[in-house]
Amino acid sequence: MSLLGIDVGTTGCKSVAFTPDGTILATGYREYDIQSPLPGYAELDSAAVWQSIQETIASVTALCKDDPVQAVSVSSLGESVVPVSKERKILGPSILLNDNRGAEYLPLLSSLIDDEELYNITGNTLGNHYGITKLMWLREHDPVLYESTDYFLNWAGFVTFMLGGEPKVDFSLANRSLLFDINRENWSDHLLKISGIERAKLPDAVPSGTMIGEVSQTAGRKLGLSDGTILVAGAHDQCANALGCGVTTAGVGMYGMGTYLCLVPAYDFRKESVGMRALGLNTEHHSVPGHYVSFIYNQGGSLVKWFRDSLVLGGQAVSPEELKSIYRNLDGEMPEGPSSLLVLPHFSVTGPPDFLSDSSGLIAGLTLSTTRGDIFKGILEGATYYIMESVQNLSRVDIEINQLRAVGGGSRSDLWVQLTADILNRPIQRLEVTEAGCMGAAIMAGTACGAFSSMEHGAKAMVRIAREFAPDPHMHSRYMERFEFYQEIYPLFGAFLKKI
Amino acid sequence: MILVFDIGTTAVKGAVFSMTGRLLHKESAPVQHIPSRNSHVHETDPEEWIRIITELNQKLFQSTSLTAAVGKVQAIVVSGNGPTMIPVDKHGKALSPAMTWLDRRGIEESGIIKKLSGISIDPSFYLPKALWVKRHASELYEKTAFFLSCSEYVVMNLTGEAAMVFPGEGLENFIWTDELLDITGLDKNKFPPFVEPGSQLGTVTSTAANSICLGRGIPVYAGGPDFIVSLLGTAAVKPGRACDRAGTSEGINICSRVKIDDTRLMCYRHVIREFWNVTGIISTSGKALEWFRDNIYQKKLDYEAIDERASMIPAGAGKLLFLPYLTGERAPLWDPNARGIFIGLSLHHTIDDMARAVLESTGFAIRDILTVMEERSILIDELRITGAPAKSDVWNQIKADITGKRILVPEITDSELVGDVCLALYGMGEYSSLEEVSEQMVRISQVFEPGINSSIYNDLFGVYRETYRTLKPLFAELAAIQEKG
Repeated sequence: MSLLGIDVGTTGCKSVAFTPDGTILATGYREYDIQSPLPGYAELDSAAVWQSIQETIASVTALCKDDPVQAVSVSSLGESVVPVSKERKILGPSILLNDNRGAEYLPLLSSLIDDEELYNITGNTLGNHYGITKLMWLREHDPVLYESTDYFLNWAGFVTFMLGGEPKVDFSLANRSLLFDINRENWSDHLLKISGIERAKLPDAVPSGTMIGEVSQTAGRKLGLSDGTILVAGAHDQCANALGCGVTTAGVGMYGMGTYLCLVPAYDFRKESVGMRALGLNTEHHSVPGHYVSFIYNQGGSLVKWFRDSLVLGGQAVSPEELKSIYRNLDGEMPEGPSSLLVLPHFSVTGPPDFLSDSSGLIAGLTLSTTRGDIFKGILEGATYYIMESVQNLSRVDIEINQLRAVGGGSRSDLWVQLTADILNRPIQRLEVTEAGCMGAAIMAGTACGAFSSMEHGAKAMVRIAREFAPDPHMHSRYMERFEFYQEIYPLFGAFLKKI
Repeated sequence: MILVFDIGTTAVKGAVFSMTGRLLHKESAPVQHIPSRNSHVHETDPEEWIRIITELNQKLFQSTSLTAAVGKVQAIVVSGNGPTMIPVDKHGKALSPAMTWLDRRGIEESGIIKKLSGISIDPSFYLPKALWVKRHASELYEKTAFFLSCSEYVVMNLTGEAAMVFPGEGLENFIWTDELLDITGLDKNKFPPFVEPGSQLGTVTSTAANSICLGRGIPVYAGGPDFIVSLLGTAAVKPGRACDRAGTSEGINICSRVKIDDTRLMCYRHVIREFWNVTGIISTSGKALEWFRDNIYQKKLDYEAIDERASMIPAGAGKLLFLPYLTGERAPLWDPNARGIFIGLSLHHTIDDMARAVLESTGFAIRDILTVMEERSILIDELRITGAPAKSDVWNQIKADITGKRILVPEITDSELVGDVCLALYGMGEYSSLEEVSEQMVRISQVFEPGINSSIYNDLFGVYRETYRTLKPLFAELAAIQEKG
């Protein structure tokens, strides 16, 4: 038997079939493009993405006929929803979080509910990337679509629905709408009322890992899934990733090293709101029932990509092999130990605690002996210092992180992971399987179909650690000397950075 | 015809000019410095200068049109970098390698002089160097007949005469005074007499005539330090005219009617003795571009290509600023702990944006100096640029736009050589004043007027200044950590 984990992202989707001991049987991947029919618009062509998802499923099932899929679950991007009819028809595109539509409703919402109350209900702070303003925009600007829509489904819920499941959303994805009451674990009457969104158009919310139906005959035949294959409520990708890394108990955190660096600590009860808001931390249900997570993030891989594309390649295209050798060379060019630079990684809008949109990047401390490798290391350090600022304050809200699990493209770099362990002063484990989202979904699927007694059990059975990076106490103290100066820059400098 | 030489830090240049100031032929050859493990020690073999001059001399007169002209050389002038000091015997033979202007081994001696006299003298200047020799190489000190500067070392090898060109009132501490020699207990006889630029120092001896292949008896006139002769070589000889000596570092020299007293700038008698030269040196200008080319462009582009790319980038480089303090900064900040900064970076900035920001940083650093000058009510009309960066149109236009002053490029950007020619003609009595000969010799080939980008740069200059002033407290702490490694 096998477990199918599907991961739907902003630019591509992946299906992976696993054995219950975590071995990959088959993988399917498709990419798609973000559509921008008008300036400020960013959306996915729902039908085209669904087509891609189906292709990845079919390609995987074709390769594991001897180990038929017993259960399916999905990890997906957060805020975007797909408008569908009860008859499982796709009715329109799926608006992405960075689409500007809906921003006009922010003043109205903030006049109707204050930040504290909003945080207490939803665990989030008002912003235009959540689902609520997009739905308000649709209701007013595209009433035909809005009215004809039976359900607005997050991508994970959409996939299980299209495969034959009931229209459901799990708590973590429901959270991304800003309409969800995380205390009552149901849609918030108050937020529905002030936004004017109809409850009936939203699916019921269930915990991740809940069985929500079986694959329909039509879908099963088309995609190589047998009748009765169990469909399982998935989760927001960050939560599925964390589960796929084995982050199932308090004290463990995921360290995502993708375009963003994203540290996701798990904890087992809701933390006090005032402290959380002061740190700019959200609260969201984890995919592991009874647990919560927060997201500490900022630019990461995007800075590496900037350095690589702008400074190293100067806009030239290179083959993947050449890219590998470029990274190898850069590794060799980096100094041992801390660089002599201070880099403020505000090259784009920043993450918590400050969510700065009017700051800018800074590289300070350059001398005639500064090399390209120094700058590269300085960038990695600065990106990590940004995360460290939040990490050092977590004790204020009683969140503990004793160890981290690294995933994402950046985690392939030994140097980067070690530097992170040294700065954050925590051991970091790198995993064998890098498809954490699909792995997390497969663990949810396996738990629902009885292959595992619990998600913790599933994670123990499936997640394998490839290598552990222990922090070097001497290095840590050297980095902390520089971190002190790093922390002085923005307070000194914020006002001028805004001018430029 | 006039034969001139300039001893630079990395190259020696030689040229032959007609009596009307036309450049007939020019040659140059690189100079090596002697590697040292001690970062304070920076030495060059002075005999190499003589070898190179001999070689250049042969090349200059090999060119067909000049072969017949060897005998027609009517004057020789030599200029050179400084404070570079060479201990010589009574025949002018070097007794040790030259301690160049980059040599800072006299730090302790500078402290001693300060204690004895209350006067701060940079370790790179002549007195701390001579005192270092006395304290650390007593045998060498005893054998030394004269401590010479680099151009005067060459002159002594041509004429047998020891002299020191007096650069101007206000620069006494840069060289030496009787009082300071007394206080420090240095032997006055080892310090040659002062002469004025353009005065005749002697004639080529028969020994020199044979070894260097010069006509015996050719008069040799006093040149001087390169930063003095280039004022003549750019005709920065009237109030309002500044000489911008662009190179690895960049010296801004304004000819001023008034003397000023401001610790941020130096002020001494202009080579046109009725005026004052007010000057400030930017530590890293061309050197910053070289650093960027070597480390960021990884030497894949030459300077012309970088210019070309930078010229495509709009002024302000997409609100990206560079502070060029890669070796700390001298004028007007005098902060050895200052460091280079890129500020304003976003994910859409390119390597060429950054290169443009590096070019612009020199403009801002110049404006920082000009601002101090103008605070002191010194009139500044224009900058006359010399050195290799003068060849970059983009850079010249950037400087004009940022400073709001027109940039003038002389036909011959080796202003030291032209300045030497001025001194020769003046020494020979062809002109009655240095001002007159300089105006005659220097012809401007290009003028860059401040353009429409000036207003963008006005805003950015404010940020440029504030950035340093804001981060200043961090630099000292950071430097301490960097030192520790």
